[in-house]
Amino acid sequence: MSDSMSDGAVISYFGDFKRLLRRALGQSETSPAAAGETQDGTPVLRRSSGLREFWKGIEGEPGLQILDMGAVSQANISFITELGYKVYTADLLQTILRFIPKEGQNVEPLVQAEAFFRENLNFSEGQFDGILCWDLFDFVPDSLIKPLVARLHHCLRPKGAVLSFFHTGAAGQQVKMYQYRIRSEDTLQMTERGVGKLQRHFNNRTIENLFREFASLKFYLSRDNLREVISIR
Amino acid sequence: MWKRKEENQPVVNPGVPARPVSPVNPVNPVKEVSTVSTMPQERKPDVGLGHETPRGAVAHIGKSVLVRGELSGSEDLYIDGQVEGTIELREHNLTVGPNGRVDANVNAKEVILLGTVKGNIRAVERVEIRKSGSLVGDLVAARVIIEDGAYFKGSIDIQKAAEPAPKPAEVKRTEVPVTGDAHKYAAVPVEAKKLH
Repeated sequence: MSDSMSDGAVISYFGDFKRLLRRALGQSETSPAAAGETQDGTPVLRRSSGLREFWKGIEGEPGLQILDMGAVSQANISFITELGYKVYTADLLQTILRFIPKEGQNVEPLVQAEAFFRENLNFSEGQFDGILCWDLFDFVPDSLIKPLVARLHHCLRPKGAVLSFFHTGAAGQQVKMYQYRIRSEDTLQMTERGVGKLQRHFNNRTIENLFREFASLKFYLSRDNLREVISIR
Repeated sequence: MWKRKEENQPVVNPGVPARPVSPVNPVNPVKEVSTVSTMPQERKPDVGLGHETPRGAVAHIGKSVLVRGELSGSEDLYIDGQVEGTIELREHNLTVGPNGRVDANVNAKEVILLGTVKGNIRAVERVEIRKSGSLVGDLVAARVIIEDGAYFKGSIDIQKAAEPAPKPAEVKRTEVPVTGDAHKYAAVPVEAKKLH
């Protein structure tokens, strides 16, 4: 008993030492839990209650229209079209990242948010029955966040649903970015697509304020520190 | 032995009328020089044309060629150049090569993209966007295949061609493909666990 305890203490000691060493070397720590992924970066499956509720909420006749705002994925297209729905894809983050200057880079800032969304989310009012935002809001610059929510509200039909994920990490923290692939109605495969900085920290209150125009919100907190939110218009 | 060798040689029969020239003029100059195409011979099966169509029946638009206007034909087409306008191939396949840039609405049997297309695509059978491919536009097809890393912005509408009524014993299956290990998970109901 005492042996196992001392082993545990040694492991803990080395864990702390490694963390301190990493800090001393100036390496940024990515959130280990913000992702449900193995150490070697291979994609893993993740249960998603939010996704399950999303499909329940929009169930209806074939021909519903779903907007997927993640990176284009065969799995998502197959899943959605097999349900008889029409799928739209718009990888907004990829477009936004082109306008976010990296160190030593001069990029035209995004000042005309309205014009930006008119061009990049050019959909008619109430067009979509459901929108899959994934963790987009965590990486969108402050100036775009409210216009983006307003635009999504505009594109969504009444009683339509938006699924979004929010990391629980602090603002400025580097976290892994993922492509979310739908494997079943409540299972996602998360595949890494780089590292990004959390633009802000969302708590329940800020999320409620953000989606103030929506009729209702449902929160699901998972073990991997990814808060899932369903917003119903 | 010798006889057999002769059979393998392409036979030109003077009695048979020559193959009709494609009605679309801009394609023809490139077709004439297809033997010196910039597309390496080995890559042709790679783009999905080799399995059904003899090489000679594929029209090429080389990478230095720019076509503006309406492009229609009754043979498969490989575009490695630039096309602006409309493309009507109906019963035939279109492949946009890695250097191809198409700014047009496309109507074909099968479409394979390794290059860039801006416009709507309607395919009777399938549309395939390879890793290097990019499509901005709406897509209507019976099957859609998109490789990881491909860029796509627009809508996808799966429309299957009218099929004969299935036999009573037959189980109807959807034809949307899944890649990789997706078949292990897709459409399998999984009981949800409570998240803490």
